Amino acid sequence: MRVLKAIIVENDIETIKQFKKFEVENSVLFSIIEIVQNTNNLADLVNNHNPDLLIVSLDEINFDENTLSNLNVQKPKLVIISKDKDFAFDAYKQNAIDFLIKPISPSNFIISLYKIIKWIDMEVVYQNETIGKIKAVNTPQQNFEFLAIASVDKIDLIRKKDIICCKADGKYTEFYAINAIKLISSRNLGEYSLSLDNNFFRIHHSYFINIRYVEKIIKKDGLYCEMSNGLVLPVAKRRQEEFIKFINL
Amino acid sequence: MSFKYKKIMIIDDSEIDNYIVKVLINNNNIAQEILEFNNGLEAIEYLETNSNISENLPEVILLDIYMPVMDGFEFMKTLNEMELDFVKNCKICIVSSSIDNNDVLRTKLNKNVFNYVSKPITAEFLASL
Repeated sequence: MRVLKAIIVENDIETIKQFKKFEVENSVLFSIIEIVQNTNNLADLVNNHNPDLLIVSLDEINFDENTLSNLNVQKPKLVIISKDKDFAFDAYKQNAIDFLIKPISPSNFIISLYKIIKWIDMEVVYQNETIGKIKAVNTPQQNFEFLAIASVDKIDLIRKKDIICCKADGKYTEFYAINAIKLISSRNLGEYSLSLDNNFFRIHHSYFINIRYVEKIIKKDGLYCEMSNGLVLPVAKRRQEEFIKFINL
Repeated sequence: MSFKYKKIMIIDDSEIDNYIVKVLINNNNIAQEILEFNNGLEAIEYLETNSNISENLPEVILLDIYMPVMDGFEFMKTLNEMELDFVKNCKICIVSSSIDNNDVLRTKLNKNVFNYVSKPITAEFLASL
């Protein structure tokens, strides 16, 4: 069973005792990494320990959306606790998974943990499904008409025949397509090499071109392809011979 | 210590779901003993074996719908066919995370189902049984 690792921000001794008792009784489910009394170094703590769960009391403790603005790990799930039910609105605004009134009922807290586990499970399922879809669409053997272009916040599906060229940009890939469409993928160019069909040729370490959209081949201080969208792309010296064969020049 | 029930049977293949329900039952003195099974078939086998020993039979059954080997619907069908007397006095609650309305309707049409509740089950629900 998954053990949820928690950081607790609380200065009420009785509440801390309750959580410690709960931890002892439910060690298969809940583990306290650290208990702090304020949010001064909370972002550093979260970065260092990468907890699943952050339990924050809003009683005499300042906590807002800026407290965790500089995280380099995934934001932990949040449970807000308070003596005052009015703080439920703050919890809602901060996307807390749950809000609990003190004294904390173990029966209610265990439901909060359940919600967090299910939430994390759903995130994992969603992520795996997304990756699965991208892999399925990008599997060359299946010869799909579309290519999935995944960026941080979305997946675009684009017809392969509409792609003019692809350009490496560090660990990203820029796709230029007809109708002045430009898409940026968070995957590198090499990952697409097997997914593109026979009309594509890698003219350079940084460029794939779709032969259908080559307007001109310029021989001047090397070899260049002028594409239908106006981009002029160099053919790497060691690929020139193979490229000339490819286009039957 | 007094308990509301002597025996509650939980039938669910999820380890975490069973753990949560057990903690809630124990923390709130709902039942003296919990009979835990991971699929309908295991539970049916227990009920068959103990059909003549009334003190071994549960007063409440918390039943998940989707489980391997034998699901909740198949369990209910088999239990109905067994025609065991204890079922008349047993509260069978379907506890599920299904969001399919057909599942809810299907369970409510079964005469032996006492209630349908969405996961997670709460202490308040258990106390209300």
